[in-house]
Amino acid sequence: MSEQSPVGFRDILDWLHEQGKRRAEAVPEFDVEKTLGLVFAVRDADTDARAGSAGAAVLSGPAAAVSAELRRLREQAGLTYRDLADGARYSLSTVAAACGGRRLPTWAVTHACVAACGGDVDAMRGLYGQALAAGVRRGRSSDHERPASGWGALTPTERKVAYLVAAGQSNPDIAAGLYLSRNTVQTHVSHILAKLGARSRAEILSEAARHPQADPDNGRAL
Amino acid sequence: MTAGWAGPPGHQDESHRALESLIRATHAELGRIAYRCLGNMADAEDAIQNACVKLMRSWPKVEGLATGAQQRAYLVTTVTNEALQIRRQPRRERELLAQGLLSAEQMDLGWMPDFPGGSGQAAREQLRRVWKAISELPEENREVMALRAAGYEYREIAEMLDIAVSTVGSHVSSARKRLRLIAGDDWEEGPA
Repeated sequence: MSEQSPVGFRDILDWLHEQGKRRAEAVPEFDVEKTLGLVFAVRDADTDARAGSAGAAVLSGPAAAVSAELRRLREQAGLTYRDLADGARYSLSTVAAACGGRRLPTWAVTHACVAACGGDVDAMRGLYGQALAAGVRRGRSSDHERPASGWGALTPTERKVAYLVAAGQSNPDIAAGLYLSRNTVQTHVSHILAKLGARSRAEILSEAARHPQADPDNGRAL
Repeated sequence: MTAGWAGPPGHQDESHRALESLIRATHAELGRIAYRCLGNMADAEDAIQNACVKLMRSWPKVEGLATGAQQRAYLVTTVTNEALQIRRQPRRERELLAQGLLSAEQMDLGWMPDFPGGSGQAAREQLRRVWKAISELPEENREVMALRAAGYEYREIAEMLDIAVSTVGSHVSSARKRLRLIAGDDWEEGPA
């Protein structure tokens, strides 16, 4: 192996330019509601922080309870926001016991997590998946109406992951193939299991077999 | 009610309705920019969200900008810088590499199969150095160079940043000059 860099900056810049142009042909769609939900949740958390009210000024009902519970658990575990952003986990069973079974609209889950993280977006990302995995279920959102359970309840991404599970791929394989982190894949798999009422990967397979895949192009990056 | 954000009722004042419409109007474009810079959906989504949160936090200032084009230019600049920031973060990569989930080749080059330097460690390092160098350019030509690297033409960049096409050209050439200085011997192709 030569110690010399194999390719110069100039060529890389030209290549990046061409690559960017090519990527422009396959830009995925990004969910504006999700972005807005996060933006306004952070705004509310900022408002609360200024008022020193720890989420109380804006949140009410179950969302406030979930937020307070998540906050308490974080403090109890001695985790900083930075730890959460770096992927530190609450004990999921603890979160599940505290919050499990609650059904909240999507915006409220976002609000609860952002408030629990004092408006720190990176920490919130670490927490959001955990809250969902721990049983803080998202309720019906007017924009994405889906049945609560069964194959039809799966999101497009979950469906894609389900087919890969059915094809016998391991979580690391799926993570690599879809350019997701393993944590994300775990979250998807746990949602799939919950929605299908399945207890094993084999049960996902039998459910997937009853719903043949329309689009075989499942190896693409999400 | 269907058109608005499905958040808690009675919580949107006039000024934040304007913020919401700006985000709605530019969201698809921000997605294109972030995706073209980053090449995967998860990172691109983070870049868009970070940019919009920044926009919200500096909204009193941005709202005061004279034209819609200037407000949009602010967002384009912000999302570009967020994308550069994410490009620099070794965190995601480190996590996945440490868990042995991805080989080093897959990490950066999985979606770049025809990278001219091949797929070795040195090539990957060089690619990272290029992005790092771009992110350390002076503010006035950093975004222009990043957008250039995302495959945009001068005309498109001028329109997005609300500046003249000739200004874009001069930013690109001074940015390239500077990158050439930073690169030193690495500017031209190394020995085969």
